[in-house]
Amino acid sequence: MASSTAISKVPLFRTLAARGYASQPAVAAAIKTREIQTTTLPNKLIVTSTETGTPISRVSITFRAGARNETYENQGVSHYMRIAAGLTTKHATTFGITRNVQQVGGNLFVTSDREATTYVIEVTRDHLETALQFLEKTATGQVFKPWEIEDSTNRVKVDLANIPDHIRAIELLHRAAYRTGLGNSIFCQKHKVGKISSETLQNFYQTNFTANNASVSGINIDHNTLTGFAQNLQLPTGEGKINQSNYHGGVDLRLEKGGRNAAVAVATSGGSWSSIQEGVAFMVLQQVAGVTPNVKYGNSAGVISKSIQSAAPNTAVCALNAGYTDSGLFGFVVNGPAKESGAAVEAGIKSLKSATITDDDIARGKAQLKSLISFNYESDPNLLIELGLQSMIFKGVLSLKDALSAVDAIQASDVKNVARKLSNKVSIGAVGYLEHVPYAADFN
Amino acid sequence: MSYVIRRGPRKITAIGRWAYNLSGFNQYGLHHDDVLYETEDVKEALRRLPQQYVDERNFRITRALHLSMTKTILPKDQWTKYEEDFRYLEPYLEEVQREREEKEEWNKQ
Repeated sequence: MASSTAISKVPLFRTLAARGYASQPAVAAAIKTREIQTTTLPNKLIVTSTETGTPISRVSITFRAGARNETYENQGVSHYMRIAAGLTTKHATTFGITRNVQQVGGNLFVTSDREATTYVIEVTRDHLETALQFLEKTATGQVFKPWEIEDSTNRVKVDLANIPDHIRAIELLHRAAYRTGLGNSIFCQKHKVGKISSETLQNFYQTNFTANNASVSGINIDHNTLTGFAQNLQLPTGEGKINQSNYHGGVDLRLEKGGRNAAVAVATSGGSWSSIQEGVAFMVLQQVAGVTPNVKYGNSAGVISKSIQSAAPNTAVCALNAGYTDSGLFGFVVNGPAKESGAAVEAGIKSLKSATITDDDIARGKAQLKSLISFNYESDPNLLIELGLQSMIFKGVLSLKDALSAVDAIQASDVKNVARKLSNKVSIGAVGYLEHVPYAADFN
Repeated sequence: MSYVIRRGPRKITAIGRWAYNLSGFNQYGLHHDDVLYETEDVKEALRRLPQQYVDERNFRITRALHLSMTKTILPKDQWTKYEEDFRYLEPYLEEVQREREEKEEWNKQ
């Protein structure tokens, strides 16, 4: 009996803690945690939500619009869209948005990549109503006051100054591989800073941030509330402008910056998310090739990373798998002393094109990918982004169980098959001291 | 985003016309918004004003200063008419004031 009293004390403590952080009774009512609910509204807007039982609610509005939707004239506008989040809209001023969100302890931010832009609000459950209101006011009815855009120029400059070399290398790699569309950088080019006008932004917003390009996702929010919120969003209508992106590749883009290091991104055409099976197979292949070490001070056990590290022991290496809706890149990124960069890239490309993959490697890759996916679903901020992106790409969201069984369904032969496809021309993006970095033409 | 700028007063009245002509700035070819005191609000509104309007304003002010220096006024046919007074700063100024009032309201809490 003594043990049962001891046990009963624990839940009491937990109830108190839960009540202290979040006073909504809905927390206790939601028994089916982590079940993902999806609704498609008549205007094609997709609403997904799930319950994880944590005290913070998170809601996001994702638009299928990013750097790839830019044209040659308005390059950099997607970066400015990130900068313009939180500025005065039709419904609220900059001051109003910041102060009201701060007042309830909320966190409002925007992230974007080549294909998607996501507005996120995070707040404790009891202030959800205010937070939703200001998420709506931020993401819809944007007007881009010219003076506010002009005042934000320095923020763009800070962003640009903070780009690490390896990210720059990946940006250059995309440009080399795709030229336009997916080749557009997610960062504004230097010569475009201060030259993106309010009208350009307005036009980009009206064309691409439309209801049928959007999805609304929520964590720890009642699904009906979220659906109601999504229904009332006043979004522009239209199809949006999708730029076709074909892999061209075979070239390199090099940014000489001096210093002692070189960051080099190398890739050939990889897999897209047009089929989940292909996408997942490439994700397994990325783990097989080797991502960053999973053990502190350890080495990566990956196929490509091992061969690079034997040729260039002081170089950091990570396999690159950039999958998009209709295309993808697969390769690796190396970052290390300039003198080693030549050997590293050569070993990497050789391994990329002709590595032997054992069944053990594939088993390890699948296990690592499964743990990666599980960790991703475990963390609310990542899960939220996942909900938004998946509902955008697949028009629905895989539950953790489905996602893991999709990985299990990948056979060793599937991975070997996609690995064989990596025979296309390689593209290289390089930043830093580039004396030793080889040229793509030498490998094609 | 559209800022509709009105010409002339909201309502044309005889007393308004009398007061407008009495004030005299129109004889220098100035408009009502050219002679506002440059308070913080007006400065901010001027910063937001499209360049074209700023240039026109600067031209009128320079011309007025020149006229004042030479102790002359414009020929009567070039005076700004009561009905044609161009309130270019009004929508911007009102927005600045609204923003300031919002801040003041917030700080009261």
